[in-house]
Amino acid sequence: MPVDIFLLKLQTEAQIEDECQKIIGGIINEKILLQDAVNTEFDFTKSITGCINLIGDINLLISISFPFALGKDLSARTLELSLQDVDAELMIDNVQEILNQVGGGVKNFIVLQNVKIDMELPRVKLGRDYVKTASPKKRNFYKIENQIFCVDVTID
Amino acid sequence: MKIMIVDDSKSIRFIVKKHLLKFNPNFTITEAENGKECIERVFVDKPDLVVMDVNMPIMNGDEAVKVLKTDLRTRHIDIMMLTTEAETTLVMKLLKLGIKQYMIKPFKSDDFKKKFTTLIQLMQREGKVPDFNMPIMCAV
Repeated sequence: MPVDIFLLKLQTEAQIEDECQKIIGGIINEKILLQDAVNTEFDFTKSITGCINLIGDINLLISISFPFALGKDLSARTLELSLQDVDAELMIDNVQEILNQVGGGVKNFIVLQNVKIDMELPRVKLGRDYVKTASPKKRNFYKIENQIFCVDVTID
Repeated sequence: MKIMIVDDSKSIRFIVKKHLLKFNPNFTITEAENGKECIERVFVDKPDLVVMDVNMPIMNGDEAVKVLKTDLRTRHIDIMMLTTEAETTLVMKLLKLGIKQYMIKPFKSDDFKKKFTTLIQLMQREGKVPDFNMPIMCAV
């Protein structure tokens, strides 16, 4: 295994998750605070969840879950619209674009280390947090003002 | 001036359209959802400029640029790429293919205005678009 890939794998998933939350913070022009995962309340039945795969010398799956209210709020902020003007279609589309930008940002972070990686198209689902069942590990919760969301990264 | 926005994301098309119309409300804006639709519609819409995403379903932006720049009927159309990937090799590849400007997403309104102003000034020097009596610098 090439040394650079070996070294990249040594980077913890948490570092890349940290990179993801920085990118999301950049998109909405706000610092996102890390939330203590133990005491969070997250309604997993009313969430919008998206995944994006980065495939190449290493494989990454980045997943983000937002409660509906936060997904709507983020969409309204990024599109400079009122909350009433954001419908489900626009919210899904906007979360897809956020994932695209997170994937692009993480790819930029990885290719700086001479690792070849390609980004697939993002996938978004409404209504349930399927990452929870796919990834039973401890979730990584972040906070925008008082609203909570999750970012999970799995590296192969 | 006619501008075609090509992006699979409705949100990005919405944001870019908003920025462009702030720049000059007289721009005629059309939209396409992917590279294939763009190639089909350029013959109907006849845009002076295409603002296009890279990562799209059905046909990617870089493939569409290749087609537009090799077809004698469309090679004069200027292209500005929007991409989430700042990878030097990708940007170099796109510049070699003949794009005039690129913008890394996410972008702030001011960054978009700066890059777009440079592009418009270049197009004006080449006589491709008229001088808009400088509404550019007045745009909010």
